[in-house]
This record gives sequence, C-alpha cells and structure tokens, in this order.
Amino acid sequence: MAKGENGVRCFQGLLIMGNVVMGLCGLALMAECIFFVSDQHTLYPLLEATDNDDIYGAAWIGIFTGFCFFCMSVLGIVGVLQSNRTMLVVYICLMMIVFAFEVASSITAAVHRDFLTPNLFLKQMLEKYQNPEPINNDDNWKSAGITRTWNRLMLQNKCCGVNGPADWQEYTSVFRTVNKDADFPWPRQCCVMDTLGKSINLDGCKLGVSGYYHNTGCYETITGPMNRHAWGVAWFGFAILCWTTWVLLCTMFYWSRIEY
Amino acid sequence: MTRGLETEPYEGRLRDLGMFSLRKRRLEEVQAVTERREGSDSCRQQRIGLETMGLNYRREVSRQCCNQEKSTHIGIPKSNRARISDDTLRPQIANPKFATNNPTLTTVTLEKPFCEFDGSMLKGASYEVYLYVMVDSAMTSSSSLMDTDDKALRATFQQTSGGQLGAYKAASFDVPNCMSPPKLSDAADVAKAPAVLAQYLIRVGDDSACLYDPNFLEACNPPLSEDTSYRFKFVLVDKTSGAMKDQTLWSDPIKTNKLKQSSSIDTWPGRRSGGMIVITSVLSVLMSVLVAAFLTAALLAVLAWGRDYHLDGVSSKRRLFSDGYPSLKGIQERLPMQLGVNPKLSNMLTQDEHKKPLSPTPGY
Repeated sequence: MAKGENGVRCFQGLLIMGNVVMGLCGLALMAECIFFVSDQHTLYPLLEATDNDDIYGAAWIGIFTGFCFFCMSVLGIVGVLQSNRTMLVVYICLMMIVFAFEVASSITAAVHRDFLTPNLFLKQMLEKYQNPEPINNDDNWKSAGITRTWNRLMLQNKCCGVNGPADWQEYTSVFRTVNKDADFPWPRQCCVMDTLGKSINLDGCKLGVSGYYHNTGCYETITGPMNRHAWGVAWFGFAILCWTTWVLLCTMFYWSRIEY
Repeated sequence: MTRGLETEPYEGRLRDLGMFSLRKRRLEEVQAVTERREGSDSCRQQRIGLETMGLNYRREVSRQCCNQEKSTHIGIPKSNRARISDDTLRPQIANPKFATNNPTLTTVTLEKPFCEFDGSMLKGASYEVYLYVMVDSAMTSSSSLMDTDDKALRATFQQTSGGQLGAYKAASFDVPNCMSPPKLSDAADVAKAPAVLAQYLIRVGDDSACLYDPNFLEACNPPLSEDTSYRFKFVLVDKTSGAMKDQTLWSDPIKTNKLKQSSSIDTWPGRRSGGMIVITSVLSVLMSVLVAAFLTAALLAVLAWGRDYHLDGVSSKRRLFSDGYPSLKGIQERLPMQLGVNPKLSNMLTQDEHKKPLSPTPGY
C-alpha cells in the first residue's frame, strides 16, 4: 500500500509541478502579448494598410489564453490536491477550449508572418504615401497612417524607401503624381537633415551624392520588430502547448483512475 | 543659280539649300579624319592611364597627343588647329560614382566642359558656354546651331517643343576653370559642397517653375520627357558679340528613365516557411491526441459508471449523485496523512478501507 501511496503522491506532485509551470508560462505569455499589442515601434499603421494585421490578432488571443492558463493552473492544482472529480472534469474541459484558442493564436502568428515580404510594404508605400485623393474614409485613414509612419521611419532611422531610394525612381507612385521628379526624386525625408529639419545640401540630395541622402532601405527596421512579435507569439505559444499537452494527458489519466 | 536665291550671299544660299558652309565642311572633314585616327596606340595608352581621373584631364592630354599626330600627318592649316575637336570631346554624363541618381525620369546631369575650349579662347575677351539640348530623333544632318551673323541659336524649349523640332538652349554658364578644377572629394565637406557641385556639373531639367513663370527671361531649363533619348552640345560663345566661337560634338544619346507600374509588384509570399509548417502540423497532431484521449477517458468513465450502476443498482446511483464528490474515501482520508498526521492512524484507516484501494482494479 505504501508503494501505491508513494506512486500517487509522486504523480500528484508531478501534476502540481506541471500546473505551476503552466501557470507561470501563461502569465509570461500574457505579459509578452500585452507588450506586442502596445506596439512600441508604432508600426501598426503599415500592417493595417496592407490588411494583414493578423499577427496583432494572434497577440490579442495570446493575452486571453495566457491569463486563462494561469487561472486554470490554479484550478488544476486545487483539483489534484483534493482529487475532486468534478473539479478535474471542469478543468479538463476548459483547458481543451483554451488549448484550442492558443493553437489558433500560434498558427495565425506563424502563417501571417510569412505574408510580410518587401514587395508588400513597397506596394503599399507607393500606392498610399502622400496620397492626395483618397477614394473613401478607409483609404483616407490608411493613407494618413502610412504617410505619418513612413515620415517618422525615414527621419528617425535614416533610411529611404523599402529597398532603397531607387524605389522612388523605378516605380510609378502617387507621390510621383504630386511631386515632380526634378524637385523630388525621392521624399525630402530621405535627405540628410540638420537640426532644424532642413536638408544640408538639397542639390546633393537630389543628385544622389553620398553623404547627403540616406541610401539604405527601411525594410530591416520594419521587419525586425514584426518578426520578433510574430515569432514570440508563435513559438512561445507552441512551447507552452507542448508542455500543456503532457499536463492534460496526465490529468486525464489521473482523473480516470479516481474511483467512485 | 537657283531661282529665288539670286540676292543672297554665298553662305546664305548654301544654308537655304541645306548645305554646309565651307568652313563647316572643312571642320567636318577634319572630324571624320580624327575619328579614323582615334585608334593610335600612344593616344590610347595615355588615355587609359588617366581613366581614374574624374575630369577631362585625360581628354586634354589625349587631344594634345592626337593633335600632334594629326598635324604631322594631315597638314592642317594652323588657323584651324585650334578648332579641331577630338571625337571624344563630347559632353559626358557626370561621374556615376559621384552623382548616383543620374539620369532620372526627367533630368540628366552632365559634366561641364573642362579644358575643352581653352584653345579657342583669346585673351582679353570674355566667354561663356551655352548648353544645347535636342531629342535624338530630331537629329538631322542639317542641324546647325548658328543663327544669322554667326550668332549662336537662341531657340527656347517652347519654340522647339521640348527639343523635338531642333536644339534649344537650356543653360548658360561661365567657362569652367581648367587650371583649378574642383576636387570631387571636397564634396564631402558640407561647406565646400555647393561650390563643388556648381563648378563640376550642370543639371539639365533642373528648373520646373520657369515654364510657367511669365517673368522668366533667361534660358529656361525645364524637366525633360521621360523615356526619351536626348543629345547635348556645349558651345563657346563670345559674351559681347554673342558669336559662336567653338563647339563640341553632339553627345551620345542619353535616355531618361522609364517607370514600372506599381500595380505590377507581386506581393505573393511564395513558399511557406519551415517554421510555419512545423507549428501547424505539430499542434494539429497534439490537438487531435488530446481530443482522442479526452474521448477515451470519457468513454471509459461512462462505461465504468454504467457497470457500477448495473452492479450496485440504486445504492451506487444514490452515492454518485448524493454529494457529487468522488466517494473514494481512501483518498480523502489519505490527505491528512500526506499533511503529516500520525502514520499509525493512517494505517488503521487503510485497513478499514482495504476493500477499495487506489491501485488498478480489474474493472479499470
């Protein structure tokens, strides 16, 4: 009998430890997703304009599921300690639902990360940056967001265009319809500015003399935070789910062994 | 004598008939000869050795080199030696390592003609250089830049509809200083950069406002058309008389850019990444495993409950639904033991409950 008790104790201890880890990971997931949703780099308008903002949706779901993992782990610990069959049934059913949501969040983040290519941002920039005549309110909102975001990106990160300033010279754009090529081969923000916000040599900037314009592209600055966001949600969620699978399977086994 | 031309001077008659003046014809002959002579080894070597220089130094040296050869072999009169143009003396595009954005959609940036006109400039007279622009397709053999009285042509952009009907005068500037040309490395200094840019190059198509400004009096240099080949020529002009003293050859055709449509950009991401495939497949498998396990456990529970119901009849039913708690009292009473209760007491309890142990029974 002692051996059986020891086995039970061991198993209970394992389950409790599994639930503790799951609860802490749930809190961490919630904190991480809150950080991503808060958009520290203010890149959301770029995704909003491309209609591809599902990595933010995945982060929102992650907040919910993270908190649920924490609450469920508390329920699970209490249920295992009391070997309460009803509690454990509730625990298992709710955990299955939260598990399903977290699977959705993780897969969404992973899938939609793949859509974030340079061409996507290039096309949006060319079609919406400084759009003079938006066709409806939605277009107006998106164009304003893109213009604001690109102006800030180019000034702060000292870059120009997605792949480089040549983007403005190679493709048609709404920017080109408003601004003549002779005066604005590329936006003024691509020029090296002094502290007052004026370019230090406008002719040098227009001609492409090195030192007077930014000749790197902004793609790295955009995708760095977005990749970290998507992979953080996807892979951390994946890790939590792998752990949770084992906890749930053991709990189901434990539950089935509780006798009336 | 052709009818209608009796009263005109000889030069005028030739011009009207579309023929060159004698002077011009001699110049063209010399140019044709120099083109044949271009491949001489010593000239080529000197030119190659000076390729690294950003300016026309190499052209100056090569012109002197080729001029020496020409004058010995061709026997050109001295008065015309200064007017000989080496066939490399065409307007050149600005150094692409320096001005990287060139040519653009509507502008072309050229090097100013350094040391090209020095042979023709007389001391005491002031000169300036005119830049002429013409669409390549308007190039005919009779394109002359001389107006009446040897004066340089004063056609404007509007008159030639953007260079399509002939050459127009785009800009005029002082003769570039051959003795002290600007150093391109000085452009890195912010203070010196404007001077370097102004001295080194001239941007065709720079002024987008002059066409619409009724007060604009000088030569208008409006933006060029896109996807069009243009040719350029520099002409040395006497400031006081406006007469043309010297000219370069027409440049090679330089084409402005053509834009690609932004709607043609393909935003399809292509292949799926490996990480996404791993996550999707593994999580789907885990989900199905969990659902299967849950169903199995539920099924077993229902079967066991059903068996208990049939075996024990009403009593088990009452036990199941009376308090809702699992009635395995052994576990509930083992809890105090785990929390540190007297083991002897727990042993007594286990002896009481030996009928219903926790270890697997045949029913499960």
